[in-house]
Amino acid sequence: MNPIFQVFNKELLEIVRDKRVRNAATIMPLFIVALIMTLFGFVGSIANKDAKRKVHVVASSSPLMTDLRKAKNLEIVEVPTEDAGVKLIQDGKARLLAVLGPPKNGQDHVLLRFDPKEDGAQIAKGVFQGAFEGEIHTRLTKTLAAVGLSEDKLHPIAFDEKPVQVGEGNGASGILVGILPYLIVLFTFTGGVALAADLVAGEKERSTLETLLITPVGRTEIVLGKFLALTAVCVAAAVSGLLGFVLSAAMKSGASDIVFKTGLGLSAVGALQVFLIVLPLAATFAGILIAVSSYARNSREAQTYLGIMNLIVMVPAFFSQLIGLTEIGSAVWLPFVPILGAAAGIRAILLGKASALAILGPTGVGVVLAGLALYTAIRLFHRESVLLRV
Amino acid sequence: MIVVQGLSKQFVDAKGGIVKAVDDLTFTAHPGRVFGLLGCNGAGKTTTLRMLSTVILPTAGSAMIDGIDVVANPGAVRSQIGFLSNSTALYGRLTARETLAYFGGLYGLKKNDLKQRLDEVIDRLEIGPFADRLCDKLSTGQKQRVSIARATLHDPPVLFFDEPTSGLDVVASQAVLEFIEAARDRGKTIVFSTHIMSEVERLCDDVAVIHDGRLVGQGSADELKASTNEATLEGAFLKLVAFERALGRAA
Repeated sequence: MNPIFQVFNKELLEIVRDKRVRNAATIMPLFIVALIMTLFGFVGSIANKDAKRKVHVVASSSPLMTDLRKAKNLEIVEVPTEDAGVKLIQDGKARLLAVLGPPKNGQDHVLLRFDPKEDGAQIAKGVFQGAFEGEIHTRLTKTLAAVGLSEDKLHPIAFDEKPVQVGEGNGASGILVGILPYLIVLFTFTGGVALAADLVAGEKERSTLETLLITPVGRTEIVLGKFLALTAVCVAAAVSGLLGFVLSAAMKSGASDIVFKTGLGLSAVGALQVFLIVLPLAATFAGILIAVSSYARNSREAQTYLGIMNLIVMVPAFFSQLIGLTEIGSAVWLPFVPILGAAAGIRAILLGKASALAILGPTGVGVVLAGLALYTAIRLFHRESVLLRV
Repeated sequence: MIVVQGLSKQFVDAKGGIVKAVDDLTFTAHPGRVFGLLGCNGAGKTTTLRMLSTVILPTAGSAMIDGIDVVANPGAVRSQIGFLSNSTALYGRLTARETLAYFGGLYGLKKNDLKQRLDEVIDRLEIGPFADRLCDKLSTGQKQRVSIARATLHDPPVLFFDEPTSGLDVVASQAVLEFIEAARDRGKTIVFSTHIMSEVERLCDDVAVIHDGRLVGQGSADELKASTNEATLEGAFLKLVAFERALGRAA
């Protein structure tokens, strides 16, 4: 067997037996995705507009109380005075206090008291005001009819909507498009981090590197074997993360209604396209990780460098979540930006409107960067310091 | 046979200064004999063995292993040598058998040859009872036996032992020394690095005393004792090292 594959096979065997690496590359991405889906489900159920909102109301004989009591998504708690309600808000025991005032000039007045910094108060305010929509509409219609006007006169400009089909299918929902590319890029990197420090710096530390260097196998072949193994682990981590989403979608987790509103948005062809982007990205990460591990004195030093690298990878990956809010999403140079281009490509695939450039750009950049990273790793591994720098 | 001529190795230290780890070393090691490299810690023994095993390049001089130049053809040299050190370790997550099979493959042994050689070394070094146990779970003595098997699996004509008994108990050390004697009797060229005088007297046919990277004495143990007028090898060694120091002061 070719020595490259002998090294590759041995590394894979060790990886499979290393609980730490196995978890980081397979279990963790699945677990994290499941956790995120559960959290989305939890937050979604809380933020659901149909969920009951507790609103404190100063006891009143106003006819508006009837509308409030009818509202299905409001839980009315009466308080004796405005001061008592304000005290409850200050103590964090209430979010919104409504004071139903007497009508003035035929208009009902409702005073709303709340902490503007509190997000929950804003949501409650929206739900509370929504409870009166029917009453407002009825009164408006009556008023307009009294002066001989139709309801249309209230809206001098009418907006009609008709979606345009771009690409195939519905594409994934906004939340999925935002988080999935970011997580896939991140998993591709972090999956390999757990193993990287061990591959060269760890071997030096455990004194197994010298025995390997004394074999007739060339150093380039040793690096290639390790590089392939690390690339496989990085890809496995990305696939595991993706699998987590597929399983969450199939199992209709708590977040299904929110995250998978329009499905996963990923066809078999789309999955292949994602793989085409992820493979050179994983190879790039693997090359960089091995170069870092070859340079480091020991695995502890390697871990320090990898921690810094983690941040470097996170920034462009994170920015990919915001790309839809900017004009950058359609920039021709975007596919050629390392990491960000890959995340943007995956995003375009999920939206079902990936152009050839969006896929081949990051793939090409990934191949070039992987080659450079691998070349650097090989150069560093050929130096005597790979063994002597301790 | 190993022929070393004017072998030197310099390193640049953190302050940019030159450190001569090995300086103008010349010696010859013959098949069927054990050549001892005797020196204190930091004398340059490990650096010498690393140059001979092609892990690092010499700064000057030459070394031929069975007629192959260590600089010109390092891959061919590595296929002719076996290396055992007290500091070389095993892969903890591989079993003893997997470790040996891995290195056998790296040394180019084909499937049938590999199986035959595996059976031989496992039998000869009595590894069988723990061959399928993870290396992490082995005792120090068992690990050392697996390490010997790894170093000799491809039956190399040249063997390097770098302080192989360091850290081993008496029983494990005895097994290592007996193995070296057996290898010598099978006609292997052996370079044995140590700072333990009793091991030198027991094993080494020829000895080179190294101090501060330089050769300060060479010959058999008896010749070293005679040349220094010392009754013991330890006395001869100390005299050679002290003589070198005196020269240093005079310069």
